[in-house]
Amino acid sequence: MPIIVNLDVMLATRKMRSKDLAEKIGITTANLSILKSGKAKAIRFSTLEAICEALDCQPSDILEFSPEI
Amino acid sequence: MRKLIILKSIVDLFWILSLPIIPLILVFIPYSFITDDFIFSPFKINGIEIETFDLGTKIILAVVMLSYLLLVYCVYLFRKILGCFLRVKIFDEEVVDNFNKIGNLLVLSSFLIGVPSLLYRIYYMEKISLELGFSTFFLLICLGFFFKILSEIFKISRNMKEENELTI
Repeated sequence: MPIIVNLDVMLATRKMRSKDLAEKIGITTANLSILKSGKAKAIRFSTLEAICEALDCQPSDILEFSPEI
Repeated sequence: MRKLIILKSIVDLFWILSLPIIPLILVFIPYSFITDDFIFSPFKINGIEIETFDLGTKIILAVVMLSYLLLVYCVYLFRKILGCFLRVKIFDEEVVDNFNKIGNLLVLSSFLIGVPSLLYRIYYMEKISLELGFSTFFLLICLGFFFKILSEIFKISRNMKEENELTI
């Protein structure tokens, strides 16, 4: 998929664990893992908003478009 | 769910009742080619009474019997689908595959029943007639395509379910 999720990078820079973020934004760690691994097909605006709020960042910090070669 | 259990029971009963006919057909097809004295003569295929018993009618009979075996296999596949539904495996790969298989087999068996009876009419009775109303050929072909469409719909639903589950 040409959309890359940079959530693990953001978590590392914020020194936050996946479990803590999942708890903060109210989703399961399994779902967060799906999002981090890039297996997710879509992301709700509400989830994106919660992530941005928890990590104090912009949606563009989390999502990146990279055209497939 | 109660309706599903009722349907499964009916299909199971139908399946059990059809089981003894399978070995009979498997014995009967080669037997009909060996013998010239046909014990069930005259018999009916698709509403046409067959009185003569030569090689042509033997082939027609074998093809019709073969289509019956295909129909019994369709019942078996349908039983498997209902089993999946009972286990709440609704949008499963197995269900989609079996619906498609049933559709293909029904279309095939409709031709296996329809074409020999048409050939018999042309060759032996020397007439072509147009039947209005419910005929086995059209009923089976419609049912076959219905199952194929159902398979497509289940495939789309499975993708939608997957997409929904992977929306975070």
